[in-house]
Amino acid sequence: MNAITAHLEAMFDTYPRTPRVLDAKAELQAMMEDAYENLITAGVTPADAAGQVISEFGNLAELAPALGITTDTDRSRGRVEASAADDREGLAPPPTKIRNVSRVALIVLAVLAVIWLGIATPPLILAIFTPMPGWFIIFCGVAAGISAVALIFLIRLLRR
Amino acid sequence: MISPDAIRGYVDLIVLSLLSEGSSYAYRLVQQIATVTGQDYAMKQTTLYSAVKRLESAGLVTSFPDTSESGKPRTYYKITETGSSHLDQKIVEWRETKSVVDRFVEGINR
Repeated sequence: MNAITAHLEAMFDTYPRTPRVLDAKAELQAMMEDAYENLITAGVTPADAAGQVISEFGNLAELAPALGITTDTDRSRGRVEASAADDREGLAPPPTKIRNVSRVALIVLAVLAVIWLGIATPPLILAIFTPMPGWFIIFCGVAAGISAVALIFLIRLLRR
Repeated sequence: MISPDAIRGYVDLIVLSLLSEGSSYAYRLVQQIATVTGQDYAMKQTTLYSAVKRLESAGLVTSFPDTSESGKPRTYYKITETGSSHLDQKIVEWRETKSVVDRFVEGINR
């Protein structure tokens, strides 16, 4: 039975915990428990029963349109359309629009980091030749450092 | 074994037909379907659940809490009057569809 619960938990892990999703999870769990107990009564071993129940579970992505998982997701996380029924077993892949939105946000942040780096670095170079107030050099140094670190992280995220 | 794609359009008809014989809960519907189809078709639990929820949101079935034979609380589904009329229409449509497809299939086999 633990395998069934773990399977269900893993299946629902990526979905928001809205009332409709939780209802679906509870009812599917009840269905799986009934199926498991039925198999155990028929003399099937616990391991085989759990395996059979999991194989008969189906595809969670199929539930999305009927349950309004897409709508709930939009409301709670600002996500956009999840894909509809999918014949493959298991979860639907993350909607591509979500990835596109995240990517655009990362690119915007990277551009901002480049701009800050562009503003903060020239005074540091000039400070080598011309005397400048210490506080100004420290400010530019910190700004340039933060921008550079942020840029490295953002580029690494964008390359994934 | 019939593929899920082949029967996809008829899942609602199957569920409504079963519910027209009396209210039932999700797992019992799966069992009833398995008893009728045998080795020819096995409906996945998510397919059944999405069908009853789709029918419920369309007002063709309603749900209510009740206790199963094993004494556990379960959500029962019951066909509505709209659901019964819809089922009648779908049965007529299915017979016509079957008749039209048969004309081609039997023609090919001749």
